[in-house]
Amino acid sequence: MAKTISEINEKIKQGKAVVFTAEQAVAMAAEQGVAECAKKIDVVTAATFGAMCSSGAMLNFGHTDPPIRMGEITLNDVSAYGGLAAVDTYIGATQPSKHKGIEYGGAHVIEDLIAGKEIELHATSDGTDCYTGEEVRTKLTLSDLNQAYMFNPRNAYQNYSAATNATDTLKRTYMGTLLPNMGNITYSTSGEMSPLLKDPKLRTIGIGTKILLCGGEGYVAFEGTQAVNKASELDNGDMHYAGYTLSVIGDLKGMSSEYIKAATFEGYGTTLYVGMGVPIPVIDEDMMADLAVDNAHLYTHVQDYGVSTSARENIKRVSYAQLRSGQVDIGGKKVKTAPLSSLFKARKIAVELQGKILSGEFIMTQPVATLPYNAQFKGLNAEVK
Amino acid sequence: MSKMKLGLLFPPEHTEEPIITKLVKQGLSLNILKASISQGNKGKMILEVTGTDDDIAKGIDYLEGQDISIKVYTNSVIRYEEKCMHCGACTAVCPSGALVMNTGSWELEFDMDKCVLCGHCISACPARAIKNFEEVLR
Repeated sequence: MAKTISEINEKIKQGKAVVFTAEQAVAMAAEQGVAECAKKIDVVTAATFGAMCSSGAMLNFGHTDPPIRMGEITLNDVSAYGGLAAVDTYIGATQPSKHKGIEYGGAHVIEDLIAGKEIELHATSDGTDCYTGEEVRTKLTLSDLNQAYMFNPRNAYQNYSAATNATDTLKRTYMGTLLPNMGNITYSTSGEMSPLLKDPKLRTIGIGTKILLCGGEGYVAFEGTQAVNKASELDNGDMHYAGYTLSVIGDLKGMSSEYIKAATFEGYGTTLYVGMGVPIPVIDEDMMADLAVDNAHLYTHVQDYGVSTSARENIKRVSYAQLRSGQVDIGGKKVKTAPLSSLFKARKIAVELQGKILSGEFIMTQPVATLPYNAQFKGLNAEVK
Repeated sequence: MSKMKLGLLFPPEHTEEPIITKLVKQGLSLNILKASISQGNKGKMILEVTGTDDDIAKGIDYLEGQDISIKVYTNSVIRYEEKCMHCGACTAVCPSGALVMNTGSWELEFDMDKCVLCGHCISACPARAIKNFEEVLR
């Protein structure tokens, strides 16, 4: 019994839609079976809250009098891109500040803007006949900006390798602090809550899909950078998905500090924890079958992040249930596991989106185009010093 | 019996008095969590002290009599809960199981009794929600 997104939207408007979070849907499917759930559930809310380095914000400051064509731009001492039109800029999450380094970076500027804090803008220019201004220094808040929207080239990793360190020295990485001799394993995917693991064939998530981005309304803009759409079938019939990604967009002005967090990975850099909720319409039984897959049947590889190579060796395939149990057996050694993405926050986002759909505040969108399904990830063939 | 974690700061000239022996003789049970002491430099030590409230008070009096400054490490001063996003990065490096994830709610839990004040969590916390305990000492 297939349902269309518009039919489900009608039910949402009438207050009759049945909406479950991804975890609730997994539990119900285990009890009542996929067929029954496909009939009963209309929408499943998936969510993630993790470090997403490829994030940033487009800002427009408005013109001064006389006007300036901003060239070198800093916001709270963090460089922003000056290669757009006169008073447009893009501030990237991982850009460190000139004086505080990675302890305060682009991510912190974005977090402060959303929190309504005052930011210092400094910009210089050589001056032109039409833009005679040469320097401006002022303080501004989010409400002073004409446009301020987050535009993240790569978010919501479907799946990501778990990290360990087989060398004899401690490593500080974007996967956290990795103790020597496989002293720990870190992982950063929300497993059975992860949006792209719940719609792995991209049947409902497409360009224009409305999502919850950092607590505000956002949209899927495009295929994310470095998206890989590869799935391998295991001997037991389970699927192991690679790592599709999404590029997303959303207005900073509707976002909430609760669902965004600037962060610093020691010895690595600044990054942004992004909160995202994605509604997945239960269009048919096959869709429900994907939504019913639990942590015991979703997998990733543990890789050795002690080795700096783009083709790291897979040490072991593990399920998210194993990772969440707190320890994984590797060659007879019990290795402690620790999450890096916040399951607590992801769950909160899934519940919040569920509430917004139930109240009719959040209506789903039909994608305007499908996302490319055969994305391949190429390396860069060049000599590195 | 009470248990308390004490931070001791020794003056540079102070290395001859056998203070650990003295404390033990006063009836205290001691666990040295961290120590950095060398002749001519300021010495630092973190001690976990177990004993009756009375004996602990006497021990502290004795130490203060030796010109050793003392900080008492209490709960709630290390983690800033409003900044914590419950990601779990700190649990990866905590050697004593003081920082653990509650696998039901997936919230971070901290048990001061288990903390050995190694400080590994401070740099591992992406949200910078855990401050250097030496900065926040009373």
